[in-house]
Amino acid sequence: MYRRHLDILLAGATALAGGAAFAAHLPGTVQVVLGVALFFAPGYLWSEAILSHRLPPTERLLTTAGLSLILPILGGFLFYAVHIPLLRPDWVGLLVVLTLLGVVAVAVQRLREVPADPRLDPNAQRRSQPAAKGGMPAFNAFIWAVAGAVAIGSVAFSVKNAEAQKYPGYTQFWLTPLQNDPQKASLGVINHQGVAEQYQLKLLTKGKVAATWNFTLSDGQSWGHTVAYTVAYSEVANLYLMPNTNTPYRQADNGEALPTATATPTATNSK
Amino acid sequence: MVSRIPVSVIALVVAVGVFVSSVGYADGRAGAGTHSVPGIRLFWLGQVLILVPVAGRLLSRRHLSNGHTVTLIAVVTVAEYLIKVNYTPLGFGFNDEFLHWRNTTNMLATGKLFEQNYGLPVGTYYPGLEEVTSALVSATGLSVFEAGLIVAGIAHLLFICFLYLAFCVAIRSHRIAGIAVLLYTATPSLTSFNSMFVYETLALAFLGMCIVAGLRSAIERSQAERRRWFIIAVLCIFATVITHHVTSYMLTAFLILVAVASRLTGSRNTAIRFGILATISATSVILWIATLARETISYFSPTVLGIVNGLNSLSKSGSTDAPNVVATPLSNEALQYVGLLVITVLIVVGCWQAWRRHRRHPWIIGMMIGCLGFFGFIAIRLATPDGQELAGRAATYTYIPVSVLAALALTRLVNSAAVRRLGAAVTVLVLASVVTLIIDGLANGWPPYWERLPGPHQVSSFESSVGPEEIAAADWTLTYLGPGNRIAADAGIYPVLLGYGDQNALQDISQLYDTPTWSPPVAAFAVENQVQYVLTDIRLTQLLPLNGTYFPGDITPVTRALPTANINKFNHINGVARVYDDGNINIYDLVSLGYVPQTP
Repeated sequence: MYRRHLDILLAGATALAGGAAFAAHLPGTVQVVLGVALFFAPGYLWSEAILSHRLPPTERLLTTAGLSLILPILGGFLFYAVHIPLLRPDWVGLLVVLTLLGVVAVAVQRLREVPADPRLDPNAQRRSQPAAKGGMPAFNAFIWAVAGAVAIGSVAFSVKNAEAQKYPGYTQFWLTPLQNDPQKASLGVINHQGVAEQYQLKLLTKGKVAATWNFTLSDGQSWGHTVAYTVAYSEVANLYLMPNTNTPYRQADNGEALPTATATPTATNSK
Repeated sequence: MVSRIPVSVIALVVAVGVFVSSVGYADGRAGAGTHSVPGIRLFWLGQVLILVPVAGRLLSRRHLSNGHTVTLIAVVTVAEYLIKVNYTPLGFGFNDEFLHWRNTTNMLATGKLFEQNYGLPVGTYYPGLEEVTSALVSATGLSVFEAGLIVAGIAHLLFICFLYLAFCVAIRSHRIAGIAVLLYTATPSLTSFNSMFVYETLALAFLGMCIVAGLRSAIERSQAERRRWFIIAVLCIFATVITHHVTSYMLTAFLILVAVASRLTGSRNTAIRFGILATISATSVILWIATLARETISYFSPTVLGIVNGLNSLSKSGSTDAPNVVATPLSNEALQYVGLLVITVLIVVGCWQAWRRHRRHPWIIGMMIGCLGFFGFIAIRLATPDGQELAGRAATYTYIPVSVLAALALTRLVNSAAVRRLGAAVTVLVLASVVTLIIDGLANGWPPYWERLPGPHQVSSFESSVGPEEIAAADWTLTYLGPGNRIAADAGIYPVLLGYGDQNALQDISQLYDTPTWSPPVAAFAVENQVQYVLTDIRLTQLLPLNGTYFPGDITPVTRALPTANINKFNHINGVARVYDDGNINIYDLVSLGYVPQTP
């Protein structure tokens, strides 16, 4: 009797632990494990409540997964209908509530249920049958484990390989007015050249150098500055990739002056 | 007679196949992309390692238990999904996935269900996928990409397994059901659009579940069991309606089809059950559109009109106005026609089998009627402007009845006395035909042949136009320009701007790039389209687009690279600021400073 209802207790406890893990900001792995359990717990319980426990394992697994996907959709729509926002705590709350309601529903269902006739229960029939002969369980388990490792290994290999893929280097450069303060502009650089680079940045107003910055950025590092911005006269920002200080490497402007020098495009298609 | 090869060994060979295909991808990434001959060979070798053992085992006359059949089907489905994941393992790479990534990110940030999506306005009204992913992200703390892969993978596997269960319940033979699902794997979009992080992937799982639940609600012995499965079917209908428009229509059509077939074959109980479910489904669809998703009508109107016009011109003149976009390789075309021929023959034989042996069987007669959709599918493929793509997407649904009929035909063929007499040679021929059929689906599905392997950047060419530089530029637009700006850009970065950038990237804007000077008509066009920013990419002047066109919405294939002056003109317009420059990509601000059109 106790073992028969163990699944309900486990599912309920999982839901509460998943909710607690979210609230307590537990470390990533713990939250992932408990969160996955919390995500699937309502599906399991409601498939038990609606379809009874006399379902073959494959169908139980499939309906559990299916309902786990359906319940957040219908629950989320219900929240929308009653004007509850759907932020992260709300989603976790929804899953916990669905699980706890599922615990009650299964408990009621099982109390009302007539004791199962083993002749009609495919799971009971399966359990009562002797184990299939001729199998090599250890060998099969080993082969399955190797197959799984190879498949997961292929994903890990692809991740490493994609991370190592060579792209032509580039440098992002911009001069753009701030959205909340058009009298100021964001002047910025991000180095994606693949190696550390030394830059020189010159800000020209009315064709004259108003400011110069020299800086070195490692790959992925950014540099930013807020400058005064106007459309009353020309403002041009020239970025040079050292040691070449003759030809601007990147250029941005406020549109009030026609830049005379042409930026050098990054070499393309030479991967 | 039981096979001597355990299913675990087949799974191992399949896993090796996945690895070999991934090595093929790695070879493409090393620099040559799809031009890497060893990479292409490894990719297809991997596919052969995946398909041959599974197909061989499913087609074999040796006994295969129900558990082993479903395991093999799950193995091949997971294998193909992993190959899809390995194509872009660091983040969503397929264009449609960006749009749902954006929807989910917005939903998590705002807590609102129907948030504006510039790339897929109609998707706003079908938030099922985003709801499920948001719930998983919230519960686990995973990223949207990781959670999205889990949701899409589970949904895809569920769809295939439920399809198998439905075939088992209806045909009452797990062997034929297994072969039917194997044949269904030949659907061109199954391993791409139907396993991506898109709303259709999730809705298909509900469609499959609804079919199984509907069938069980009709055939279960006890009234209580029938009622329970009926509740599940209704929940599936609601979830489908909230998740994806076309799938909900197809589900309704499918329920009607089975109801009608059941009535014709005298299965009154099944007819009533499916009739009620069809009514619930149709009512839900109508209510959803009428109350929340009115935009669905305007979204589909052009497509429906295109199909009708295309079919009209086909029936009147025998030819169509459908433009020829990009020529596919001869081998792919040959494979396509052989595939169509084989399927057509199998359908005809299958219909004959169905009529001879199963004419009192509502499901099989329903599938027989449903097979007519296949010929509509061919007509759409030939007659409409987006025929290839539309037909590919429609195949997801039309191939369900087709695979059942084809499986009936194939099982009959394999079991026939003549084939038994001819022995292994014919069995090998049948296996080769089935594997060729599936490879036809893969070769003519997505990604197309010119981006079969991941590799270097290509201009205006879907996935191969998406790299770190494009994503960085799109992220920059969101950070520094804010969301929702009307941006003109080429077709390559267009979906990245919509997704990662949350920008309102525009279609049909090639006129901005057609001239070497900023002439008054071009300026007027910019004003008329309320263009705020123009994005240019110097690489458009160096390479031709493999997709055939440079700009979103264009249909006429280009034959020469874009002249440099056509994009450099934006540097010389007084009042137009160059706000962003990364060497390849420039962004120009047309509006915020008030541009002054130049005289030519």
